[in-house]
Amino acid sequence: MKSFKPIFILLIASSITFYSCGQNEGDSKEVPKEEIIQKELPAGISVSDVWIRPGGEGMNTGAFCVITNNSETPDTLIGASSDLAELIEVHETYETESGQMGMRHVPAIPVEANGTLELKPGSYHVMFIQLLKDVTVGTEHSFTLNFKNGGAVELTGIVKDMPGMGMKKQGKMKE
Amino acid sequence: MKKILLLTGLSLFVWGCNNLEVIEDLSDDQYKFINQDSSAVNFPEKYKGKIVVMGFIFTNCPDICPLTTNNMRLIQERVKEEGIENVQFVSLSFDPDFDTPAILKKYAELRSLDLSNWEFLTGDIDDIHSLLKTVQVFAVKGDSSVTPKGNVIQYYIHTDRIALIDQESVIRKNHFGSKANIEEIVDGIKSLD
Ligand SMILES: [Cu+2]
Repeated sequence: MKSFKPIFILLIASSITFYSCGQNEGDSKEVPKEEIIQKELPAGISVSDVWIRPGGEGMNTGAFCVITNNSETPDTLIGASSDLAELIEVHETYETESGQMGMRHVPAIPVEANGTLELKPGSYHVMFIQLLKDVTVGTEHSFTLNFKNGGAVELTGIVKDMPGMGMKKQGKMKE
Repeated sequence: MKKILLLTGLSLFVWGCNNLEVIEDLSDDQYKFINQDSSAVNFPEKYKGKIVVMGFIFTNCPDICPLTTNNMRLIQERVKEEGIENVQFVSLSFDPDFDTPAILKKYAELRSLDLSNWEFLTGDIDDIHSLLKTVQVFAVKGDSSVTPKGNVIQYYIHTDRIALIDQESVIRKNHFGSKANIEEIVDGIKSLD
């Protein structure tokens, strides 16, 4: 059971994330262990809830998402890339001891084995520096997150002002 | 000590109709700014007689300042719903080197902000710093990024602030900007209305 459980969780996670369109990997008893691991390793990272704040050409903006490490191996987010801006960095919003807010480049952020890393307002963000075009509400844009083990993960995010805001109802948060 | 008690008592008496304190009287101050349309704005003179909701931002900030700006939008919507009319929204940039009127206008347009009672202000760095000092908003250069073409993008370490200013240009309450409690600020506006 000890060795079975993580594999089982792994399999469930990978089924949900990568094989939801019909490939049947659901029955762990029928699949040899080696085969599962082989299929799992290259796709250890999955990313969801991708969204980007609006920004103008020559200006900056930020993107946010939830990163899940579906593997038994810890990973590290080491950067991001995109042709949307002159420079892409992973940043962290932080509060000083006296309560002021600042922002700094973070070259590496660990993603625990079977853990999640949330890039969210007031915390980590993907920083688009000097956008090469306008990034307007309702449009979609692609960028890449780079992981030490997981390699490059391509994402597409929708532009909105706040998480949970729809395209038409932006600005209305209360229900 | 007696003086403080007397002043406190006096303040409570003068402002007895609401529970907001007196933080800073700006009514004798004059700051020359320009708005997103490059029109001159005498602050706080221009807004005298209005309740002012004022945020402090720089547009190169992709996180805290958009949160503050979005909170101001939410307050603006709530104020409209409540039918309160004499409220002015003001966002002052503390990065005038980058935040020209055109950039501020674009920043507002990208967010489809209603500028009918909202102005984005920039201006001379000395005027801006003078006001920041008075209202005790801290904004100093922090980290920066350098693009492959060698452009330096400056970030600021700054106070996270939305200030509520009354019709007499007196700051009555300082709120967090990015973590603002919308209803608390709307209640403050109602109590001043
Ligand atoms: Cu940043």
